[in-house]
Amino acid sequence: MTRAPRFDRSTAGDRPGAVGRRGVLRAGMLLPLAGAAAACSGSTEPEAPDPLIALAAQARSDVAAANGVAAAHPDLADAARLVAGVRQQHATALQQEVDRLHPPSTSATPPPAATSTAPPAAAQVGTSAARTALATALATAEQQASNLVPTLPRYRAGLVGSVAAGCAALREVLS
Amino acid sequence: MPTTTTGGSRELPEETVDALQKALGTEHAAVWVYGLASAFLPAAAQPALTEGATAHRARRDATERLLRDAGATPAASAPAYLPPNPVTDAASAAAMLVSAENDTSVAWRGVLERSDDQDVRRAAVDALTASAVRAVSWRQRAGQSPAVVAFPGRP
Repeated sequence: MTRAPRFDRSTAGDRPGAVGRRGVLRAGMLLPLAGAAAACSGSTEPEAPDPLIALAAQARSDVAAANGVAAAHPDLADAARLVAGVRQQHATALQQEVDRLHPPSTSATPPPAATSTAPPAAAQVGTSAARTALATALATAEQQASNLVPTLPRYRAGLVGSVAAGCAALREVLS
Repeated sequence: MPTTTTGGSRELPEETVDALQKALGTEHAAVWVYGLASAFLPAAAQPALTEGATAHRARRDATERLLRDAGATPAASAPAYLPPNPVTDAASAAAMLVSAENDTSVAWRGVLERSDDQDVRRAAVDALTASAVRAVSWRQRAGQSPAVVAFPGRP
């Protein structure tokens, strides 16, 4: 895709006289390519956000919530720490995949951790409610991930499928 | 091994058919392994054993249908399978079930990475997820820690 602009200039009419009917035809054929290149550079229209950004944010949010539960509920600490550890790995892998396609240097600062409110909330509820809240968050994450799987590119389908499966497995530990 | 997709109602590329055949092979093995494990596990584990065996049989049958729809001949099961380690008691039987679930997880993630068909993808992520969930209780029973791997199916 990065090759397009080189052809774009020379065929689209910068060299007058060289543009006969055939030249116009060629320019017309190359236009979609030039448009695609512009979209890639992000300079014209905003791209649809990478769907993995939301999955990574949910994973970070689950890490914060699980750490809060681990601190507030000794009975749940082992399971909550396991949730935090696994979801941290999910957040890292998903963010790496986001950054691979959209290097962070060209975009703005990474989104902040979504939930600074989760740990205090966890301290105020009972153990059973905290367990339910964590399980619900994991069910949401699993659903988010598995809903994306059918339409993602192949490599991402594997990664996101494993994230969904990991969330379901974590829920089993909490049950 | 059949690799063409002619004559079926669903067109699948060769690499998808191959990945599904591999997944079917791990489902055949899982069905067999659940049968062997039941002799070594206590009564308390029998409901989970029945549930797992039933799920693997259903997945095996569904995968065979998918392959036939694609015009391929489903791979047959082997007469017997060799457990990765000797099975002598409840813990080693549970460990054998963990590795059977790991094998199916890896195969189904392999299907995700080698398919574009949305129905195949849905079946694969369902199978991967169900397998990862079953593996948790067998790891606990086998005394393996942690009971959850972060990326089930990642080889």
